[in-house]
Amino acid sequence: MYFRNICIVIVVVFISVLIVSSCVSQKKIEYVFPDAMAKPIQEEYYRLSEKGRVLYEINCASCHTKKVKGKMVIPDFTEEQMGAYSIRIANEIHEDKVSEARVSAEELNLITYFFTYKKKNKQ
Amino acid sequence: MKKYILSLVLLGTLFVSISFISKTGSNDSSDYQSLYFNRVQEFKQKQKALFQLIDESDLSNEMQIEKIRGAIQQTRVQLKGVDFWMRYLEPISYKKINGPLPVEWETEVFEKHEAPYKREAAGLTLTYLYLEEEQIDKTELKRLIGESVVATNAYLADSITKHIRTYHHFYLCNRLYLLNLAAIYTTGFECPDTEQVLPELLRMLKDVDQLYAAYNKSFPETALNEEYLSLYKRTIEFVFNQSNDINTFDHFTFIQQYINPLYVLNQKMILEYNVSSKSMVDYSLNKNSTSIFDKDLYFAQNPKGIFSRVSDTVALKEINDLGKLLFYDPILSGNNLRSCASCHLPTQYFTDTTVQTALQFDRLNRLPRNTPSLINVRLNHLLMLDGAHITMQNQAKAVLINPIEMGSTEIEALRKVLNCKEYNTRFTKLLKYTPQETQITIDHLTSALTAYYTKFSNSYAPFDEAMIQKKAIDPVVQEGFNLFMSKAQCATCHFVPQFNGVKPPYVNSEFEVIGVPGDKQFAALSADKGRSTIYTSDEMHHAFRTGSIRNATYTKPYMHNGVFNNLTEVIEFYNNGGGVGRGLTVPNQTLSSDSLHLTPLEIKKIVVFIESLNENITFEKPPLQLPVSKDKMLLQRKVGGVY
Ligand code: HEC
Repeated sequence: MYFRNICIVIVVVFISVLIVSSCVSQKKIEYVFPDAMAKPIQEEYYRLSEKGRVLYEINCASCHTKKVKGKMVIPDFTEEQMGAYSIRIANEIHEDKVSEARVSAEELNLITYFFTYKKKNKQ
Repeated sequence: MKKYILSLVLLGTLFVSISFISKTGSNDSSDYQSLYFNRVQEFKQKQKALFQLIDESDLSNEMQIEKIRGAIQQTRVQLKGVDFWMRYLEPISYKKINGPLPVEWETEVFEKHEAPYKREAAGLTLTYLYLEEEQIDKTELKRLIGESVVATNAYLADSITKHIRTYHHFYLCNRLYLLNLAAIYTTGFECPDTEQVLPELLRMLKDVDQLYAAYNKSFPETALNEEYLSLYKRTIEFVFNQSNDINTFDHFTFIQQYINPLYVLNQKMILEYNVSSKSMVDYSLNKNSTSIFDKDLYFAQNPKGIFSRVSDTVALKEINDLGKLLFYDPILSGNNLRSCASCHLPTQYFTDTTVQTALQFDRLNRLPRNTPSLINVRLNHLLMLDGAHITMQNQAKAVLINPIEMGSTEIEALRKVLNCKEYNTRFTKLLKYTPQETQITIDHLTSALTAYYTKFSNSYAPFDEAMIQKKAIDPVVQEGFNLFMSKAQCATCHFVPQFNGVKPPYVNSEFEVIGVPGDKQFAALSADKGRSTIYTSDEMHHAFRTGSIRNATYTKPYMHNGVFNNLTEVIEFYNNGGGVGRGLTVPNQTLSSDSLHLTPLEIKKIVVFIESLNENITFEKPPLQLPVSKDKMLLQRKVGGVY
């Protein structure tokens, strides 16, 4: 009986550690929307930005999310850097990895929303 | 003595550093570079001399005009020496140097991000054409040449010339050059004087041969290989041995035995040398294509839509199967009676050959336009005859919600589909492939649809096989193709290899005004305003996107309104100079209104060539049944709909 209780405690602790640690590593991205933007529109852009975030994770993060002082940091690309279609030929690697066949124009748009409204990193 | 040693050491370091630089890719390319600079300068001198001549000439004197024509011709010839680079390195300036049309609407792939804008061209071709006008205004003539001189300066700017210092641009310029050799240089597309087409071609081939030699000298580590160079020499011989008459030039052999094999070799070198592009010119071209006639020569559409990154074969099959069910399922229409297959009959090359235009949603009236085939849609940058859509998925959505087509709404269609347990569970299982979406959306449905029907766009025709495998083909096909490329002028709009309006570098879909009548009696021009219903502009009134002629044997009736019933009627229409040739008033017709003087036998041969473009497509049987719905009304659905 005593042994069983210990086992349960261990399992519970283990699971909660798992949950907590996954929460820590998946730190929620914060977004900043202009004050003047109406609430429903903010919500719409939040939705789009979140889609963009997932697409960023799939298509870009492997090269662009970098460890800085032990933390994984997503860069702050500006709209200008994203530059619509020109990003596809910005460098040799993109020519293949950010080709139209891999990341559609709509998806690039969503990724751009993500960068536009994502809270900027501390300098 | 010390001085000597010092300078020797200095010299040594210099050499070492030069060889170090050459290892990092920027070779000592002085030969190649000086050839570039010399040729651009020479061309500029010729342009300036032409400008001077125009300035001094009396334009009422026919002799002096003739002299100007001669000078234009000389300048054109000089252009052949730099064309290889210019077209690739700065295509926008090139339009000012040798644009084919006075005004062009840029309707490029970039329209996916930008509204089209008007671009006024200038340069040699337009100057030549302007001289044919009755009233010649010297200021305008000087503008046409003056602007081309200014445009040439762009090729001396550092932003452009820096590319000449490494090898990458070379193979990409060469790829474009070869594609143009196949698609436009032999058709008179940019050469108003047809007698000059072949002499100019020969001149360009030879100029590029010298350019190759200079390149190989400057970039020995990434040189063109022997196989390429010897085939290129034989290409020049081939052209040299042809008669000077464009109408007897053997376009078929030229492409089959020479240009396409050269392209194949160039593609191999692009991969071998890790050539990388930073140019928009290469936006659509595929580095891995293995022939000009490869269906993946260029990328225009994403048939899998939201599922674009799915590569798992089981999942792909599931997407395809769901797409097929939806394609035949009238659940997508407002009244549950019409499916995609109602108008795009899968047994008839995904069009309907029995009607001129399909019924409207109301089952009474007819739609204004003929149902287009869905085969090879993926090779168009802009969809619909007026270019209304840039993605296949948006196009599908638009039909769904169009009140005169399928008469539904996105919300209704999605709701009804998800009310069917089978659709719901099967699409839900696919959700893991689209992690950006938390629930099933209309895009999942349309992406499945487009993925399904595009499966029939991957087949090849006997003509492709002849080209790719260098196989012999029926001599009548060959003669028909040669007519298509020359006397009949078809290839000036239907470009090799897809024979649609997408020309090298395959980034845009072209629109043309040919004056299609409303009926066969040519009583009036078709009322359909075409492209100008999307973007208002005078040039675009009655303009339609050039379609492909692949499988045309099986996709009657023809033209946007289905006015012609067989291919002979269509070719007769062109033979008579389009709408204007038949007495209609079409001020902006882009097709020549002169007769082509094709004989009935020649027309027959062109039809035989078109038949060789029928693709070996394996069609499928419709699904036996559709997913059941909780909604009783929806249990009555018929596979494929009822009208
Ligand atoms: C395989 C690696 C790789 C992937 C995947 C990748 N990139 Fe890049 N990206 C690079 C490299 C390398 C550079 C150039 C860095 C430099 O020049 O310093 C770059 C540069 C950029 C720049 C330009 C930054 C600047 O300095 O202006 C942007 C913006 C960018 N990438 C966005 C993206 C986005 C968005 C995606 C996903 C859709 C993506 N990249 C995917 C490797 C990658």
